[in-house]
Amino acid sequence: MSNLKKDKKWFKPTFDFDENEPPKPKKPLRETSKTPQTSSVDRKASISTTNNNINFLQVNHKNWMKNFDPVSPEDLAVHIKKVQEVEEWLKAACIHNRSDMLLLTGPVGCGKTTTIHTIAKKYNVKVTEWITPLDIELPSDNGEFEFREKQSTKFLDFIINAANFTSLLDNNQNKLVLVEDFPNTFLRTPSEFTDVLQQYKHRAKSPIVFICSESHTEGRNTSISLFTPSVKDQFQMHHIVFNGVSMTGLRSALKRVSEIISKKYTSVYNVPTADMIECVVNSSAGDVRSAVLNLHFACLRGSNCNLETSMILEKESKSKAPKKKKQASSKFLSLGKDQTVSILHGVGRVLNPKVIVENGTQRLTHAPRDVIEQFLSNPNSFVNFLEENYLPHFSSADQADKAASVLSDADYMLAEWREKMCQEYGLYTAVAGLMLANKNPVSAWNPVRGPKNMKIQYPTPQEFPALDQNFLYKGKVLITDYQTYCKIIGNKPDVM
Amino acid sequence: MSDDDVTIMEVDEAVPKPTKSTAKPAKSTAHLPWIEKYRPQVFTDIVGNEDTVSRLAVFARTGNAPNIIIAGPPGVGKTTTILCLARALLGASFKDAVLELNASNDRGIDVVRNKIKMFAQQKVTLPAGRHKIVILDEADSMTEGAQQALRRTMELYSSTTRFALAANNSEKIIEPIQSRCAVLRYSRLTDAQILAKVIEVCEKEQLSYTEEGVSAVVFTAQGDLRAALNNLQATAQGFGHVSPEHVFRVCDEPHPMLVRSMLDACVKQDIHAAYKIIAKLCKLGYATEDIVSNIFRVCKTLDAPEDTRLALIREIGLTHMRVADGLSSPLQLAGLLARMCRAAAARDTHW
Ligand SMILES: Nc1ncnc2c1ncn2[C@@H]1O[C@H](COP(=O)(O)OP(=O)(O)O)[C@@H](O)[C@H]1O
Ligand SMILES: [Mg+2]
Repeated sequence: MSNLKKDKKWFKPTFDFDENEPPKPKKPLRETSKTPQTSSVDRKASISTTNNNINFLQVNHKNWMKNFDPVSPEDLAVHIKKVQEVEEWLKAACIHNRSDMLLLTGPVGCGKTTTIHTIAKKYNVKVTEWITPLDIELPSDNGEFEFREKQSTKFLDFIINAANFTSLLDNNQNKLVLVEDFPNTFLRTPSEFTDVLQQYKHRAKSPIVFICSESHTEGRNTSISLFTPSVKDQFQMHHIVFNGVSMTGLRSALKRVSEIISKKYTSVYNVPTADMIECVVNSSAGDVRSAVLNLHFACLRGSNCNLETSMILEKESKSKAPKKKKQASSKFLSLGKDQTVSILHGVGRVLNPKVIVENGTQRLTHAPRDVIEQFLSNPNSFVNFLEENYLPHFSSADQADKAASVLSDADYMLAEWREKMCQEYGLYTAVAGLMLANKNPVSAWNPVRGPKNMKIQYPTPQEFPALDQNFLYKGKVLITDYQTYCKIIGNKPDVM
Repeated sequence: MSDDDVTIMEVDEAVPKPTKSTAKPAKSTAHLPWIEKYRPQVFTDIVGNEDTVSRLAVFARTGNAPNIIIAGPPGVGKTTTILCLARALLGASFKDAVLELNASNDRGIDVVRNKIKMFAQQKVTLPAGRHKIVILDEADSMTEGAQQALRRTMELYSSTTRFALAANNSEKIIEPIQSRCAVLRYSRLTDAQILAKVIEVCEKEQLSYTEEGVSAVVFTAQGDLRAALNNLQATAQGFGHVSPEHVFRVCDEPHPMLVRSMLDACVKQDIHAAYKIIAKLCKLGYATEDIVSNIFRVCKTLDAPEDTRLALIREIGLTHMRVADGLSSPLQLAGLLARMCRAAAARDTHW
């Protein structure tokens, strides 16, 4: 296999989702460009039919997720205002044939990429996306990797070509360059990226879009760190921030999927019930992609019986304390993204502890040991949920004080990543501590909120010298305080 | 499906190449680690987490599998499940259509970008609804950069390739990847499940055992079936008979009965009795770290009120962190005892 690939040129990987294409001609751009990605994949799929009819029969299955891709902007689950904003920008940029730049950020799975593709399709704009190629030779016999060409040069050549190269087949189509997969070299040396942008600004005749996902759990946000305020300023980059998809948005997206299913794919799926859609909406945390994926998972024919059994199992295990209302959601116990539904259950158990008396001794109905068992693979998210929600459940300051103190202990233990067991200590301390501290839980209904302020802020290398090394605990804890403080005093670290 | 000619490519432990075959004892299985010899080949043999396993079995029958992440503690069958799924989906094509990468492989950005892409581009003819499978075991140990590089790859090859990830901690998997996968969670196996499996293996191996002996194996395993089988095999090889003494000897762990009586002494605030036991354990040469984690395991099931247990575990945890920082002298253990006694004394007023 190694010698087979050796002579391929760098642009080859742009086609690499297509396994059946014949060897590439020398001119990359004409065929690399994808007029919305989806349709190009379909086109390829039909090519493969002619070459090879074994794989074709169920091409729909192969790409099942594409079956549900939005077709027009109205199908997008994104807020209409944001869609319009992108639309306006694209129209203006295309009219002027300028090298306008757009930065699109937002949480994972909120529909950034799909929005661009769908709108581009509406206006018949050709989208060319950069995909970081295999950038090194296969290891030579002595196991060393050899770099071929500078990554940033390749990148620049590619985007400029994509923006300016016109072929007869284009029909004078407007063009748009899309970058979501950032070459590593830029993350290592951001100045290289600025140079590339400079060149693009001067030479390109089409707009370019950069898409970055932001996420709560990651300490550093690699690609976002490229777009500092001064970079955005310098290149007059328009910045549109998407929010997570709203419940309503998710619901209508899933309803749409469900309609497509009942129109075309009843042989593969059971048509989802309203109940099921609700469950998926609740467990997807604003992430459409994950929601559609989970719906697929839940509706696939044959899997239904399993959902039933899991529901029965749940019922049986809860026969002592029947909770009618919760049943619908318990179906998805192990399914949703981040297990949100079962996190909600867990939070309820911990923050409304119930004590029973058995043979004269008091005992918690849900032993902390059993509660933590479910969250060993995501202890931090669970503790973050507890931290966000515990206070309204406490009725006395005294007890809340104890709660805060166990949470602080738990935080400290969870920060120790070298020793796996510390995760369990931390989780247990938080769970048992909160349950025991809360002698008189507030019985009012408190909706569970998702954790908000738990994002650990790591210092940038530039900030390090400004900090007193003596006060750093593993480079983490005080930094969080430091950045919060800087925000309060108006983002002027120099004041310190 | 004929799985006779299927060879598991690599396994996450550094064990000799495991040639599978429970049904066909053609190859000598004498020197095979039991974890491999008794590794389930089909879904129905997988113990525990029935709900999730049966849901995956659907994909094995119908294809159309999404990308998956299986998250859960070690030794509960994550890797096994993924291998079963791959085998069921791909049958004889297993060899060509599966790329397995685990923590012992280099999985830096370059490997992800190159090896995985190369694999995804390779042409393999598969039935409809089936895909090539990339198995990334212990994916939580991959660097963030490598995971980022994986992100787009996953989407671009979605028509030909599926990813199956196993991880202990799903929080270490970056969100963009979680978003592209169905996340399935496994919990620890129960003691009863482990016990049943251990006895089954004893019987198959015609190994003599006492009830306490197999219980000891279960205790050392703490819900980890891999550890249970490894410990059982070590005991069998060392002593040919499974009794608690043998088990704790081969596992090089303090006897939990000793530790339990030490904890009981702490709860009664009898520091002298407690210290005698610790001194003995130190003299026997157990490492501080092993002693502390053993104390924790015993403490989890200690017959004491929950608030006492909480107070003790808090102290144990804090001590463990110091030990992890390198402070592993017996003095730390003595300090732990003192603090546990005090915690036990204070608990009535504290809570
Ligand atoms: N649920 C299970 N059912 C049967 N055997 C299991 C199970 N879990 C683990 N084992 C045994 O332990 C060994 C290791 O399991 P493995 O799947 O590699 O665990 P993990 O990947 O979760 O760490 C297997 O070879 C098998 O013998
Ligand atoms: Mg494993």
